[in-house]
Amino acid sequence: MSIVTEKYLVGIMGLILVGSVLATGYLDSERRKKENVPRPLEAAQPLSPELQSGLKIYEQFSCAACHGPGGKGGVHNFNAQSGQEVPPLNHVADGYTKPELIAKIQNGVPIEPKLDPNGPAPPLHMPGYKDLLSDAQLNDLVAYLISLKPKGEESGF
Amino acid sequence: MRRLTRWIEGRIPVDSEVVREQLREPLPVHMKSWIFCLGGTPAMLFGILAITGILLTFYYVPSPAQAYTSVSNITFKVRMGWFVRGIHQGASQLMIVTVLLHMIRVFFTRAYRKPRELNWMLGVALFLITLTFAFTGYSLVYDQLSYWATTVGTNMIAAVPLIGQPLLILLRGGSDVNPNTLSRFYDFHIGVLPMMMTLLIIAHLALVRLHGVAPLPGDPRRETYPFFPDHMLREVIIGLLILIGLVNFVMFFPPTIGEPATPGNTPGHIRPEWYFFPTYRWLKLTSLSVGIWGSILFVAGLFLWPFIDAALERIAPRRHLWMFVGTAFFLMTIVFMLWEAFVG
Repeated sequence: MSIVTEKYLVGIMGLILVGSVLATGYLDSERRKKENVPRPLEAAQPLSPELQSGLKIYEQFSCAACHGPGGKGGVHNFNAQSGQEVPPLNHVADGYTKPELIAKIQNGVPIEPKLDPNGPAPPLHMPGYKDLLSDAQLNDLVAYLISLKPKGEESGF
Repeated sequence: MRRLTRWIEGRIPVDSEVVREQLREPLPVHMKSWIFCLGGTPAMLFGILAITGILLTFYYVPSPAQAYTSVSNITFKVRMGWFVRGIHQGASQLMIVTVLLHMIRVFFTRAYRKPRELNWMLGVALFLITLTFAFTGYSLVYDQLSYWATTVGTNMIAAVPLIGQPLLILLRGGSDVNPNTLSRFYDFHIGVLPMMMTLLIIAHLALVRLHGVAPLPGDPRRETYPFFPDHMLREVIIGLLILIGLVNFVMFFPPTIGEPATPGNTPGHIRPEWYFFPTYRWLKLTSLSVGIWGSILFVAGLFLWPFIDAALERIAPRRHLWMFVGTAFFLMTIVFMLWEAFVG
């Protein structure tokens, strides 16, 4: 095979490769459409009884006072290591398993880590709810917290 | 363009003509055959594995609680995640195949002989690292099969004389498979092994350049052709052919995942991936100590083969003992692999 033929071959194969990758992308988007992956800004679905109970507990125990409505955060906590804010809860599904979340709610965070070790202690810390919530309530609350992750949030490369 | 070249030459005081001269290194004409171009393919696959591997780390969580979920998330939810995982998985299998083909070619053309013994040894080390890569990567999936393959595979390490037990503790982070094991395997897979492989590939290529390509025994031709662009083009064609095959294979056979790992529940039939079939069959045929010693001797023999071959040549010149030994081991490996694959 001459060098010129090989150069043409590389060009043609390059085009086939690009075509194959594009076809894969198309296949992926078609598959996602078929599987009805929820899109961002889709209308909110009504909450299940479990999640309604979780929301009720979230409001009853004033979780929103520190973690914000819908767990969106935004409450200032001076000198706290967590960006001087009480951590939002709408992405706990990414970082915690169910048992880990239950343990966190039960035990709380008695001493909030300081951003500046020489600075004052942060005014807010997470209390433990061990004796205040039943197992069923804890399960509902955790289910609600996990459900706070924005629906249809796209992840991809 | 010329201005840019002048600008770069002004900042990096290396004569571009010297670089061009290096790229045009003359290669013996037998290298034009496709089978002699297989050395560059594993290097290219390593590049693909590095890129797809980095992408996978964006979503993979190396903790026993979340590893399986994160792989499942990559496979079924993340946009094009199945594609990236499929390419990574496919390229890893192809890398083992191409390294093996390259080694078989080097063996049967006796390109390992003096003064290239050290480069053969580097090649064997690269082959072992490739297998370790595959083993650690397979373990990260954390489904039932991969978990138990890790458990059985690391159990065998304990039987290695002298260093077995400390090596087992080092790999597992304890005497049993535990939460530390996964993070250690992850560290090896994305940190230690890539670094070792990169350094060894550089050393391997440097030695190929310093010695020049080994002559083909019995080939009287003295003509040469340049590495760039002639040989490079062939490498690119092989690379593109593999990539097209891989992309289309993944498109039609996307990767999947088994049941999540359950440490207390051993599945009925544990089997390693196909590249460990010969070793697995060998270990099944013998007692554990004979199996382990046999495997150690095999690897040692492979490492020291250039010297063993030279010794055989001195003992029985022109008897082609190297070919008998090589063919016997090659056939034995194939038989063991097929035996394990089809009989189990």
